[in-house]
Amino acid sequence: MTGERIVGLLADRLDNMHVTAVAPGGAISGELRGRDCVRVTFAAGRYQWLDERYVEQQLAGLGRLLWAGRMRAYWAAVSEALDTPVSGEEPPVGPRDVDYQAARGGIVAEGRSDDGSVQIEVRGMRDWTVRIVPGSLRRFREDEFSVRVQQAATALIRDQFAQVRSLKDTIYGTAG
Amino acid sequence: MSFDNLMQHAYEIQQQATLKALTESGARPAAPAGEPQLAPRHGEQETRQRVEQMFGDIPELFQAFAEMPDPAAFSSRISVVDQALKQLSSGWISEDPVTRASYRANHDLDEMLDAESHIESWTGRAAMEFKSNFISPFPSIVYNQFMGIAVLRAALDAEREIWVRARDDIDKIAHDTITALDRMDDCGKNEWVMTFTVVSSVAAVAGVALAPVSFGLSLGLTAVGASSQVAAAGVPDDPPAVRFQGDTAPAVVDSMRDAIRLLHGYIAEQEQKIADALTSCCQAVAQQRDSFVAKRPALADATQSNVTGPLFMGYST
Amino acid sequence: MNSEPNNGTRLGADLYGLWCAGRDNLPTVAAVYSAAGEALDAAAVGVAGAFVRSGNLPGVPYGPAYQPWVELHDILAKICHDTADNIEATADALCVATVEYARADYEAASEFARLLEVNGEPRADIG
Repeated sequence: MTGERIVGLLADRLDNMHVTAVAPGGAISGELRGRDCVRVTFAAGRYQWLDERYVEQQLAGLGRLLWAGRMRAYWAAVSEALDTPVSGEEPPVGPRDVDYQAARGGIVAEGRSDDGSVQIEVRGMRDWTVRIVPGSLRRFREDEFSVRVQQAATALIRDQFAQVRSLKDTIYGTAG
Repeated sequence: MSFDNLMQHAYEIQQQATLKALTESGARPAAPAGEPQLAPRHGEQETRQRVEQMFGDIPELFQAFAEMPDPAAFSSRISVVDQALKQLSSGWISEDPVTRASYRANHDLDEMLDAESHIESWTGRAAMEFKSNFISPFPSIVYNQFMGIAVLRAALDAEREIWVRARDDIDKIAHDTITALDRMDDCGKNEWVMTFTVVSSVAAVAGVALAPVSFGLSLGLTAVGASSQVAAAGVPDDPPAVRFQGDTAPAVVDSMRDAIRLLHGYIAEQEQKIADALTSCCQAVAQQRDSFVAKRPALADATQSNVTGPLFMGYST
Repeated sequence: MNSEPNNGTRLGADLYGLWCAGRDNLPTVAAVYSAAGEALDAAAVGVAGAFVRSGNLPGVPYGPAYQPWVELHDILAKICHDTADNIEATADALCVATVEYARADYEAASEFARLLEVNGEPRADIG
């Protein structure tokens, strides 16, 4: 069967999601668009005074906030698609659910920029770690640095979803 | 109404499920017709065929629903049966026993009383029997006929309601399946709940009482109606909520098949309620036929040579 | 109660009454039943088409309610048509009787004719 794919309502909402957040220190803002496109911007004039350690912590905080916002938007979209309020996951029923939930909590997803200068890692979508190669903030302009953060974030999100998919296939796959 | 797009949704489900299952198996979908095919990888063709077979039945499952009875076909007939009800609405009662809707009395029926006043003074056997066996029970018989037709009409209401709700339910199944396919790759366990509104389509009406005509027990009529129309239906029980789960494409589609199977069962159950009530009604009418129609008066078969005789009109006083 | 048969003018009045019953009152009621019967007939034309379903839907082809509905419908429709027929036949009998009585009593016939003249021909008010 060919032709354009009709997009389901949930898919449409996920494709058009828009979440924003501000890092705890106020110097960095971030937005997530669609499924995996992240953009960070710096408050006017702040970039030149920041160091890598500070930015690593701030980006980690930003990641947590953006992902929390993402999940809220996700549940709102699911509620709309199912025409009934749903705000969270049901408790596990049966051994497969239990196994899945335990294993999911241990997933470590990782993404890095094409040149490796920015690396983001998250465990269980809760514990965020950002590593920036020392000197990167001086080497790159603000917009160049933002691009690297974007690359790392996109790669991380895709890695997380790929691992989730693989885990689901392993645990739920054999019985169909 | 989204139901009009049902087959479109069915193909979307088939398409999405196929894509996801192929991805899961590491196979690529076939290139669109007219474009050059990808060089086949080992086992890819078999995988594609296997996946296609897995989901080949999906359009067919929905096709029958796309062609299921149209509520509008019942609506038009309900209005026509209503015409019969209006005709037989007598001055004594004019309330539909199921919906409690009021019907203006048809005063043409009152002319039976006028006829009575003109025949009253005639002494012939058939004339007197016409008064006692036809005119006298007339109000009760009209009342019972009205009830019978009201039950007939309410049964159509109930049947219509089943198909109105079935449309909503199959549409929801389609949408929920699409949502589940869209959701299955996300991090959470993929679960959803479906309530089948068709389960509360048909409501029973407490025995419709009839006017007694002859001596002996007067059996009431069993009626069912559309639950949205039955006046004394009360608050219906919550329709059953069924949980579905699927974190792989085959699992989601299996849930869809389960939901459709359940819907079939609920439809059958509701239709059976109507069938049982109608069958019981036919029996009740047969058992007390005198309450629904008077026997043909002897007067109706009088001839020119015998009509003035003592067996028929006799004389007036 | 006076058990002497009426004759003459009194009979004429009775005949006029019979004629009203046979030409107006009873036909009016018969028409109600004809209309009800016709409505029921119309409701059932092609009704199988409303119930029909195919494929894997339950109850192919017409579902369990179709047959009992038709059965109840047919019972009620026949009741309406039979009642209309019975009332019409009775009305005719009353008219035939009126003519026979008039033939046998000249005074009654005159009074009958006079009442027809004065009150007009009784007619059923149908529709």
